[in-house]
Amino acid sequence: MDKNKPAGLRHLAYVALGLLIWFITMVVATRVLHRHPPSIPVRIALVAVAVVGFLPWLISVARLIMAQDEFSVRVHLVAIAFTCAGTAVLLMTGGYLQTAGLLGYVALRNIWIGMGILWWLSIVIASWYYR
Amino acid sequence: MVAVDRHRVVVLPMKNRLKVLRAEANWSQLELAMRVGVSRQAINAIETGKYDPSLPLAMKIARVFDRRIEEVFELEEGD
Repeated sequence: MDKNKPAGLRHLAYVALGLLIWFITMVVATRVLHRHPPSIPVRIALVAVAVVGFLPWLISVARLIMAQDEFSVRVHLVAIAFTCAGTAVLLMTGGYLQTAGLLGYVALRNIWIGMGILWWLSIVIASWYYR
Repeated sequence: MVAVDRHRVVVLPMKNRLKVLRAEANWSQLELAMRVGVSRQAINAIETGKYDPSLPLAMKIARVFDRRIEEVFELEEGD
């Protein structure tokens, strides 16, 4: 395991760098988009910047997970499966609640915030199950 | 472990002698984990039967004990 330590640190550094890129692109894109630029190509470009800026973090997290031993990968895959299923249930519930007039407008960004919380919870539950 | 026949999928549980062999060698879970190159949690999950290792990992574990793989892992009796 010791020989994997430098690789682990390198992956963590990539995650930190990905987080920084995500943060910068998110702040820039959100700030400019809130000024409602009139040009559609500019708006599309800003959306692209925000989305592409998110990918390095996502890829670095995937690489960090895949660099771990097969048991840890299993725990993460189970957690991701729980997250996808949980998100589907949340979306369906939200959709029906809106149809029933019991839930107002919900910003799309709240979905991935909820997904992030579900992901974290799923990792905790999966780790606890396999403990 | 999963065996597939024509009409259904049958789960064949595995058991292992990891805890016994580890005690004979006087190794902690962490020590065995380091010898095999996995986390201590992985060894614990295998010992408690919550996780069946892949074939390469099972072979690696058997090798550190200098045993054949079927001396460490076997299917539950009656299957």
